[in-house]
Amino acid sequence: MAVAPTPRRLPDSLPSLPPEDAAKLDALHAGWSALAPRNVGYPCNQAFDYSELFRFLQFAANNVGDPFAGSNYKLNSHEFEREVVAEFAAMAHAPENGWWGYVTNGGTEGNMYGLYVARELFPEGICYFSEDTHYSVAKILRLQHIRNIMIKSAPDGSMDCADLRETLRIHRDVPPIIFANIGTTMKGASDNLAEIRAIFDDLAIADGYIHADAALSGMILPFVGKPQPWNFEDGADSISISGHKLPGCPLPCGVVLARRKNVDRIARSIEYVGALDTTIAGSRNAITPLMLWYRLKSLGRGGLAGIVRRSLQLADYAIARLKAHGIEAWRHENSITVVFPRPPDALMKKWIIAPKKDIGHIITLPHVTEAVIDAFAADFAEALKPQARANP
Amino acid sequence: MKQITVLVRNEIGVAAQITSILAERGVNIEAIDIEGMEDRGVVVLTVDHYDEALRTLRDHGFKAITQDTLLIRLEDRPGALAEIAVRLKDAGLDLRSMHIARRERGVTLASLVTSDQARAADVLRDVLAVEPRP
Repeated sequence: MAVAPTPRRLPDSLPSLPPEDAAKLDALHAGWSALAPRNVGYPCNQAFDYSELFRFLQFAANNVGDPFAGSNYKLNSHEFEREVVAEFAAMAHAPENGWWGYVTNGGTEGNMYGLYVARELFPEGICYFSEDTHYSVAKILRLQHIRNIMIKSAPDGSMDCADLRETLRIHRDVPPIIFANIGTTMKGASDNLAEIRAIFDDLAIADGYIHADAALSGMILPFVGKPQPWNFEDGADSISISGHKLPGCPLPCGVVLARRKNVDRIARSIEYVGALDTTIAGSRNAITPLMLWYRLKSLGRGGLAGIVRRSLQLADYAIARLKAHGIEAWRHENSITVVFPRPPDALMKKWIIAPKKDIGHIITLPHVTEAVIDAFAADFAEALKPQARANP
Repeated sequence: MKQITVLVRNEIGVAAQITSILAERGVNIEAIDIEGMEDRGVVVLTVDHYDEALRTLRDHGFKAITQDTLLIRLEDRPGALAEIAVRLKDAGLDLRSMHIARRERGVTLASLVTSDQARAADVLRDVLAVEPRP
């Protein structure tokens, strides 16, 4: 006779929060609720509903280990993680049966993994990255003791390939490890993978590695008509994509993908330390793979394409509205990062934006609706008025 | 006493602001040099409480470069940084990192770290933007 599973209940004796601490939580919730609609400067899609997964938060789940290798810790979501990674691999045109990957804590871990693979393959290699690269990459390079040289950026934010070519020409005896941005943080610019590969060929560089940081754009470019070169077919050896950015997720997460043959070489080398697991962390999140799986399954590729279409429409709408207020705004092709001159500090008291040097931007994910854009553009224009600037 | 280089906008009052915020945190400035470069400037400080000075500058949004890093000034053209790497290599020095700190009006300021900073300073004396303390 089948036995019905007993619903799990929290122990009655579980202590509750003192009133003042409960009030503190309530205040945080109220604060976040008020701020969320004005979060326009960071690439985090807030239009999601994961309430169907809340029941899984009662388990001490853990995805420790390689999701493809099995684990003694059975409270895991490896099966779902494998499906998620496979879907991302298909969208990134990974070679059939020639890839490996896992769900990360976010884009930075994915970048760390890609550079780790590169460093293991080419211990003497030099990493080249552009001026517009996110600051976390400098931390990773230092952490992994990878020699590195910064390459100039072109005014549009992409890597200056003339500078890269001249630099590689001088160092052609050292394997290059290229950290390529597929959508820079501030301007949404993409480094040209095709041209980078062409430079390798021109300079007869046989040993080289390209890691693509496609945190945001990695989920845009599969759904546009004329994508910039960004995937494995275009020459990437590893790719990091964020899950909490375009798909949207309350917990930071992402996916890293790498060529299977390169990962296997690392796996062989670390066998000497008694572990074939090449993931970076020990304990790994089991909930974020579930969330990404749920998002991919509920939206389907058609739903993801819809998010991209909507976001691009919103980007054009934002440019038009800002220009209508006399504020110069622009975006790269296939980018939802709308760039404008650095706004007055007064604007940042109300809106969550992240200006750097002389520019600012908004990221037009679906929660940044036309109404939000209208309000933002109006506040921006108001803050530019001489009286507002004199009395911020 | 240790040296800190601060990249600033070349505006009236910047040096006064730096000295003021450091004084508020109890940091004593032994020496201060200011050099203007078009609309940007470089302030070189020698201070007693090194870590506190770095924290203070960071907290106030200044870009500070530590004594462990060499700051060089180069023409802004393709391959200019790579040529520096070759000079270091020819001198038997291992380049660990080279980052662009600022680039404008045909000039690049870059920070670099090598296996031997003192020898690197000798090799690159002609392009040093700031003379490191002995």
